[in-house]
Amino acid sequence: MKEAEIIKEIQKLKEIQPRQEWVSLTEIRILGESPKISPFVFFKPVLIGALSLGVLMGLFFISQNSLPGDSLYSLKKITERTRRVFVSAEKRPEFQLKLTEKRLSELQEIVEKNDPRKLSSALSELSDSKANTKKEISKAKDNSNLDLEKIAPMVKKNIETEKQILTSIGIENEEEKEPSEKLIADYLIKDLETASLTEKQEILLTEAKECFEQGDYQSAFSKALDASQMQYK
Amino acid sequence: MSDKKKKAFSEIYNKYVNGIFRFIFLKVDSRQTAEDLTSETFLKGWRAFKIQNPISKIKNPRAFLYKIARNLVVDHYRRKSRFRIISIENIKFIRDPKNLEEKMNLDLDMLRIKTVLSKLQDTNQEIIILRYLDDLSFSEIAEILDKSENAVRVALSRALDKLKQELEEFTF
Repeated sequence: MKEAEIIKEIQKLKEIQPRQEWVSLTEIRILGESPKISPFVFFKPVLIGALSLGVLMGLFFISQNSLPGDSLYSLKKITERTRRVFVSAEKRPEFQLKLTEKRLSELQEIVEKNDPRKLSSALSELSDSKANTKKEISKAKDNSNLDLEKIAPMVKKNIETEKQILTSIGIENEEEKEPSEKLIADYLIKDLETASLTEKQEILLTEAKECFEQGDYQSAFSKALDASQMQYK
Repeated sequence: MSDKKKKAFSEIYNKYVNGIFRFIFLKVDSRQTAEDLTSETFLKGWRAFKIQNPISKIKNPRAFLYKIARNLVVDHYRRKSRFRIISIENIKFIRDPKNLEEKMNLDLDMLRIKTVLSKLQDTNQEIIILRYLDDLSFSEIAEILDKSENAVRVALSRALDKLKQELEEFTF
């Protein structure tokens, strides 16, 4: 095979293109509005504008039930990212945890529908969401904005749900270098160390610290959370 | 935010979005993922573009965007590798390694070349895509991959030899 023939073969892949409606929507999302829109848009027929808006709103509404791998899923993600802009820094960890909960519920739905084609996308989305959650929690902690009382139970619930779903389909989540439960366990333990505790809480704190040192972050998190919740009641 | 900057970036976006999408799509496993990563590439690009000043000016927006895209693909695979299937007997979902159903209606020819391309080492694959699909110059490719121009030329020649060998041996 000659070089020219190989290059010709390779160039067949130029036919791979993104979807045009995705290209347009993404430009709008990134730049806020298309700079190509004329400042004299109010001269255009109002009906066309209203119709376009109606179609777009309809699409956004329909996209809310879409799953990873569906053609409208990216619209759903655009909506979530837009909503995030209006969430205050203090509320971001909670917002992000709710998105992770959503990703888990999408994964659950894909498992129940027995749709293997979407599984890879769903797992990827979940992984991304968890990474964003960790980022927001770290940021909030650094700015002393972390509402542990609210966040910790949400983290626990997500971890348990994830474990349940992955176990049901025979997938193991490999140990992350900095799992969420380690992060939160660490915060909870440090928080408890500065508080005045009952005897029961002291025992739980000691056990949490032992588990943490042994690398059993899930147990450390669970015990520290139990101790914290006694404190918040 | 100045309309001038938005308009300038809009031109950059429309000029390179197809190439960036294709570059990412050829390296990931689904259109959905390719769209998400492409979107993220341009979002990061826009953030950098709007704060640039005479000192930090982006000299080559195309190379800059490809660098971002490349890094995002690496991050994507780093995150994905955390999931591991532990037991074949317990698997209810078996992921088709060729993932034919997630491809964008590629005909057999395209699928053949794509499959063969995926057998090359990452860097060689990228050089071929950037040179023959996106028509980048050797100096641009060198900038994106952080190599010398000479190294890129040598790598391209070796990649083509390897590709030729794989194409001649390929069967579905």
